[in-house]
Formats: sequence, C-alpha cells, structure tokens
Amino acid sequence: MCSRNDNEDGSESYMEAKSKPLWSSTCQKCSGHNPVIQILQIKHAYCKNCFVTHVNHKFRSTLGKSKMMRPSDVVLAAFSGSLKSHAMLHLLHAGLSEKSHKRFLFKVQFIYVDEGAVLGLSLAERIANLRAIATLAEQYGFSGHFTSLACLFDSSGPRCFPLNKNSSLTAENSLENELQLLFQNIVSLTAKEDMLKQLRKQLLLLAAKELCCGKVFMAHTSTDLAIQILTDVSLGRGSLMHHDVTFCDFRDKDIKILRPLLELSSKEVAFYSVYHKLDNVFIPSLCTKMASDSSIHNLSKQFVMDLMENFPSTVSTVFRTGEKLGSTSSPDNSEEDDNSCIICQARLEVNLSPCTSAQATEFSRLISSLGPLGFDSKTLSSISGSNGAESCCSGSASNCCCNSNQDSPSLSDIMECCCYGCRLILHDLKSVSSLSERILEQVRRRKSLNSMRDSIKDFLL
Amino acid sequence: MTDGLQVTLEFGGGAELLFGNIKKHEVTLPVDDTPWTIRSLLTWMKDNLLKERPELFIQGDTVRPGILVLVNDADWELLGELDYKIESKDTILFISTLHGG
Amino acid sequence: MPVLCSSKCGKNAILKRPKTGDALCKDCFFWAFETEVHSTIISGNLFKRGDTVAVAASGGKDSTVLAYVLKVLNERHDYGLNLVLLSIDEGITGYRDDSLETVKQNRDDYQMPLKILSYEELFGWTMDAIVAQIGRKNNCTFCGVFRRQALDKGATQLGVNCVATGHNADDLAETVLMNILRGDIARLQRCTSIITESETEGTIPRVKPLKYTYEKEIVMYAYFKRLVYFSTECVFAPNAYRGHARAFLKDLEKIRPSVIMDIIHSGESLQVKDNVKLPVRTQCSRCGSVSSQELCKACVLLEGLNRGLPKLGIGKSSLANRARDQQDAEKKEKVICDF
Repeated sequence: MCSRNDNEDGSESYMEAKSKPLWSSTCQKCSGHNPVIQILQIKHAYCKNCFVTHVNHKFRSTLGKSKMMRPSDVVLAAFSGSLKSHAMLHLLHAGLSEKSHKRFLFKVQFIYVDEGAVLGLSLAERIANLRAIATLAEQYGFSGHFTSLACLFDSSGPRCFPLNKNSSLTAENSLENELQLLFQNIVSLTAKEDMLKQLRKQLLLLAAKELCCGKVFMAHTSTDLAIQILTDVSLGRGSLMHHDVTFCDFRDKDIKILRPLLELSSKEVAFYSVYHKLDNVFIPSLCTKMASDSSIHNLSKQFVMDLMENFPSTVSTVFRTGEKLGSTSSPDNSEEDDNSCIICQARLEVNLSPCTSAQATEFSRLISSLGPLGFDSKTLSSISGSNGAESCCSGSASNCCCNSNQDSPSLSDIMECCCYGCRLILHDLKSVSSLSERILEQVRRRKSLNSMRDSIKDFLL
Repeated sequence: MTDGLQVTLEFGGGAELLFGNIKKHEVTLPVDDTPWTIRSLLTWMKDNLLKERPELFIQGDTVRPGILVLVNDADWELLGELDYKIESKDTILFISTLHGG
Repeated sequence: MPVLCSSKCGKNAILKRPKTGDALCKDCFFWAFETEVHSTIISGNLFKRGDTVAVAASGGKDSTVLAYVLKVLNERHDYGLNLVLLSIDEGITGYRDDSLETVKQNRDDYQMPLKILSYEELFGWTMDAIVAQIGRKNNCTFCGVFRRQALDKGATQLGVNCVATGHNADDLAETVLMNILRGDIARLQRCTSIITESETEGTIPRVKPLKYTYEKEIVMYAYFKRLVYFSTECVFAPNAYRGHARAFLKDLEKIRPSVIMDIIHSGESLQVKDNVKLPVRTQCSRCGSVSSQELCKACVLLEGLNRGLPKLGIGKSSLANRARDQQDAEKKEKVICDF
C-alpha cells in the first residue's frame, strides 16, 4: 500500500522551501546602514552593528531566561579553539566588561581538552596546539586550564593543569596507550565519535568538580543541536536525548552543562566571529576530511546543512522539537549509582513494555544462532519475561566468575551495565579487554553487588 | 597596470585545510569576455586553487552546504549568491561551519 | 567461499540479516522470519482468540506478506483468528485497478474473504476525479487522509475486532524521522506504538505485526516464497522519491544496518516534557471519526472538493476558515441580490 503521508494529516508541505531573501537597501533594524547579513530565522537583513547587538542580546537573554545563573557561580567554559567556542569566550568577556547593572556577576574560567592521542597527533603538534590555544585566550584574562583525555583513566592524580603560553604536555605513556588501544579496537567511525563524545563529557564533568565549578558552558549552536537530535535518534539515544539538545544537561547531580549559544545558528555565530575578527586554532577532528557517509554524525550534519540550504525553517523546527522533549520526572538525587550506564552515566531505562525494539533485536539474534533445531519454544517466554540474566554459579563455588575479581567481565556482563546507545558502541568493539580498567572495575563491582543482592533477597522484608 | 581582476580570497573555520592550509590568497583572475561571478570563480578555484577533496568544498555548481560566503564582509545571500559580479579588490571569505567543537 | 548458515544447520547461507548481521540459509530464514512475527504478536498481545482481523491489503509486498504470514501462523500456532482481506479502491486507473487483481489472487490463494471499498462510494470522488480538479499537487494528501478513514469505515462495516496493517520497520523509522522534521511531537510520541490506542469510543484498533521486520527481509521472503505481489509505482506519485526522510534513512542504513531498530528504540523511549501541550483527540462533529479539530481532516478536504475550494484542508486552518467564511458571505450576498 502506498504509505506516503500515512500517519499524517497530509502535509507534504512540512518542509517549507527557501524563499528569496527580502532584498533591502537598508538594515531592517536601524534603517541606516547597508545590510550585511541575512538572518534566515527572522527573515531580516541587518547591518553589522545591529547584528552584533542582536547576537549579544540573544546570548544574554538565553542566560537570563534560564534563571539558572547565580552571582556566586563559577563557570567552566569549554574552549576547543574553534570559532564558535571562541565566540562564546568573547561574548562572556563582553558580558563581564559591561558597566553596572548589566554586568555578569558570575566568574568564568576556561578549559581546553587535549584529544590529540585519539586524533593521531604527535606530541609536538599537541604542545603547539596547547600554546596556540593559550595565546588565543590570553586577551580575555580568564584563568585557563587544560586536561588530556587520558587523564580520565587516571584515578589518582589531578586531571587539570594551568594553561599558559609555556604549558607543556608529558604524555603519561601507559594511560595514553590504554586510550589509543581503546580507539583502535573500535571498528566504526560512528562508534568512535560517540565514544569520544561520552569520554569528553565525563572528563569535563570531572574537571569541573576538581576546579570547583558548578557549571560547564559548551558552545553548541541551534544548528549543532538539530544535528545532535538526528544523531541521537539514530544512535538509539532517544530517551535521554533532551539532555543533549536543550539548554541544560542535568544528568550529573552536582554539575550542570549549559549551552548558552543555543538560540543562535551556526551562521550567526560564524558572522559574529568574522565581525570581531576572532581567530581560531584549527584542530582536526575524527571526521575531518571524511566523506559525509563515513559516520552517522557526519551524515546527519550533511543532512541538516542541506536542509539549511533548501528548507531553512525545517532546521529550527527540528531544534524546537528537541526543546519539547524532556524527562517526565525531575532529577532524582537519591538515585543509586548502579542504576546508571557505566559509559555515559545516563540512567538505565526501565522499559516495562514486553514488546520493544531492543527485545525484538535480541530475539532475532537468539533465533538466528539457534536455528529451528536448537530452538526451544520455552525460550520465547523467558526472553519476553525478564532480562534472562542468570548467575553463572548456582552455589557458592569460590572460584566462579561471579565472585572472582581477577577475571575480565564478559561482553554480556558489560552490556548489562550500559544503556542502549552505549551497547551499540560495544557492538563495534573488537575486544572487551581494551575497555579501561576503571570501567571493568565498575562492572565487577556491580556484578558482585547484584549477586549478593540476589542471594539475600529471600531474607529481605 | 595589470591584466585581470585582483581579488583576495580568504578561508576560515577549517575551509583553509583544502587550500594548502593557507588562510589568505591574493589572486588575479584572467581577463574574460564575460564578467566574473562567484559561479565562475568557483570553477576557477576548483581548477587552480583547490588542493584536495573538491567534493568537500564544491557540490554541483555551488559551495557545499555549511560553507558560508561573505563578499567584503557581507552575506552573499544579499548579493545574488552565485550571480554576484565580482569587482576589483573584492575580498571573498569562505568560512566553514562544518567543523565541530 | 560460501558462508555457512549461522544456525549451524550445515547449509549455505542465502542472505545476511540486516538487523543482526547473521547469515541464514533459506529454510532457517523462513523459520526465523515467521517466528519473529509470531514473537511480536505474542509479546505485543495483538490478538485474542476468536478475533476477526482485517488485513489491510493493497496487493503490495508488505500486505501480501502480512496476509500470507498471518495465515501460516494462525494455523501453526492455533491463534483461532478469523482473517479477512480489506482493500481500498482509490479509483486510480492504471494502478489500483491492476493491483486489485493481485488482491483477488491473494483472496483465492489464501482462501480469505475480500471486501473492497471505494473512495467513490464512500466520498463520492475517485482519485482520478480529484486529480482532475486539483492537479498533481497535494493529491497524495487527499489520498492519504481518505485512505485512513476508508479503512476505518470498512473495518466497521465488516465488524472486525482490529485491522492489521503492513507497516514494516523501515516505515516506522521513517515516520519517527519525519515527525521530528515536522516538529509533530504528538505523533512522534505515538507513532511507534504497536497498537494504535483506541482512546476514543468506537474506533477499531490497528496493529502492526511487521513492526520489527526489515523491508529487505520482506522482499526476500516474498521472493523466495514466490508470493505474487504488485510493485508498480502509483501513477500520481512516480519516481521512487519518498521524501527527504526516506533518503536520509537509506543512507544511514548503509552506515549501520541496525539503525532502523535503533531509531524505533529512540521513538519508543523518548519522553515529552510535562508542560508541552498536546492536542486533545476528540470526535469529528460531522462524521464521528477521531480528530483533534472540530472537523476531521477528511471532512474538511471533502468540503473543499465539494465547494470547489480544494485548498481548504491544505494550508493553515485559519486560512481555510477565512476562505470558507468568505464563500459563505458571497453566497448570502447572492441570495440577497436574487430577491
């Protein structure tokens, strides 16, 4: 059957084609100067001055509207050297330099995350990047820090170091190797990018804790968030997507991640940086120079860029869709630790419906390997019942894996401690042992906790 | 006096990577019967300036979506986009918004 | 070198399953395909013993495979269902008349009664006539809205307990993406449910037994089972162009084949903020169908056709109301002039 418009009230016109710019010889705001930028969302042509004021205003109103900022706050701005993170520093600096009542009262520090080990950069290149970043940010006078991705695997030492033009990196070898091994073992670019994103976010949270900053600012634009929505949906991360695509990510109970640029498009931010002559330090990412079909994130990016070109209003529709998503419950601070994903810290989904996509895939996997001969119809009821996790030893054998801490946890042990999205990363992992010791340790601990709980559950009231 | 049209081509936001990592190029476009437009400039850049992966800069006859074009600091969308007639001493900036971070 | 079947049955595999990457031989594939649909039916609680189920049959691959598999499973697992075929004749010469022949073939092959309901008898308009009036723009809107209501009316006439449709996993994933692109939060929330909620009295629930079945496997199943289906594109919607969302989905699938299930998972698990207003679904005051507006879409479109204002249901409802009021006002004026 024709399934066009099947579930719709029939709007083929759900995507509004791009209209020709309203050509005007004067700025639509001040009617004085020649217009220099066409802002698509509001179909206005602005002159330089009015445009810059408009961007400043949007930035300030986003923060103001949120009612989240307190004068005592210390903000940690994530600064990668990209144009948009530079624009964010510039906007923050402008807000702190205002006179009297308009001045931001909170304090700002910034941090640069060195990901060079994963990106395949040499130590010399990484040190050069570090110093270029320090030089770039120097003019603002914020106190700067840097950290390396490998520090995430270091459970003891400090993770943040002061950033200045003489900063240097001493790549701690065993940790760097561990990190590189992990990424070498991930077979797809999609999973690599997703893993990097999760690790970066965790590291930023840990760094913020170490530096006593209660809030992390990230320079995502509305365009980035539209891309993120399509990426998250495709990566099976729909349930927690709102944390990734709205103003505030409150998954961590102590530290909030805020996105003060989210009311601005990537075009607006790019023009802002051009007009303020903001420079950038270009550091290649995992997908630099890759074709658009090299990863899900890259493809989503290209898709959104195409929409922007041809159906610009659809991009803001997508972004607004993200705004309407959310959690039905407020963050639960009493949440037990073992109820969150060990990779991304998201709360594990408790889906009570017996008929879900995740179960259907599991079932497919099961019967494809069993075949009609190995299949027992009872298996059907057990799989749709519980998660089927059974203790490997029924008794108290002390050498069994559920008691021992030495053995490496199996893939399915780890899967059980992960959310749907992170399980997809694990599917693309060649060897479980390349996961960091920190993660494996958590799996072991959680597993023995579970088996303890199971063995005493009959005695609990 | 010099023959041809002198223009400054600038690259930012990562677009420079495809042009030998040089952010600013002073170029002279050869004399032509028809006036130079961004459309013909793109073809010229593809043949003379672009160092690698042309598909990451040009798609069809225009720039790849996600790359913004500014002529003398003004949005090309206000100037007729591909049909803008290039004048001597114009500065044309190509800025990529595709890079993450 | 031939790949062996993942089930270790010893035979050579004939296909790689997109959902899991397993390779299966023909017999194990048939078995796995059918067992999975069975599992969906059981875990989703789709049917009750004694139910009469209408299979929405178009003659296309999805509904042909659905009718066949339901017949096989009904006999194999003794569901105790009474299966009937329900077809809608949109009145498209050169397309639907041919595909209805395929449905009649299914009726004979599978020994199921067939009911055909036409747009003409339900609404007084064939699609041919509609296109003659409105042209090729927006015609799919009319067709989609009318089909939805036609299926409801047909199901009521047949007195069935539910309607089974051939929506597959690819269709669902596409709908999730589409609703995100349209910003339709209400549909986004419910489009992945396996049974459409029948919150309004008198609506017959619809179920999607192929919800977790990949389009690729449906085509393979039909091909290896030599099922007869009709695969011509509709004459009013030529080109395999099915919108941006479909093209995007196909590209995603090339990168990671499980993406279809992953998108459905996202759709099943995403949550909507408490304070977002969702349209309240009530009944159309004219025909009694489910609607979020005073008048349902089908009635508005129909009114537009009959008044010669085909744009009535296409744009914003405020514009539609204005056009309607204007025409009413003009009519009144005419009446006055006539006196």
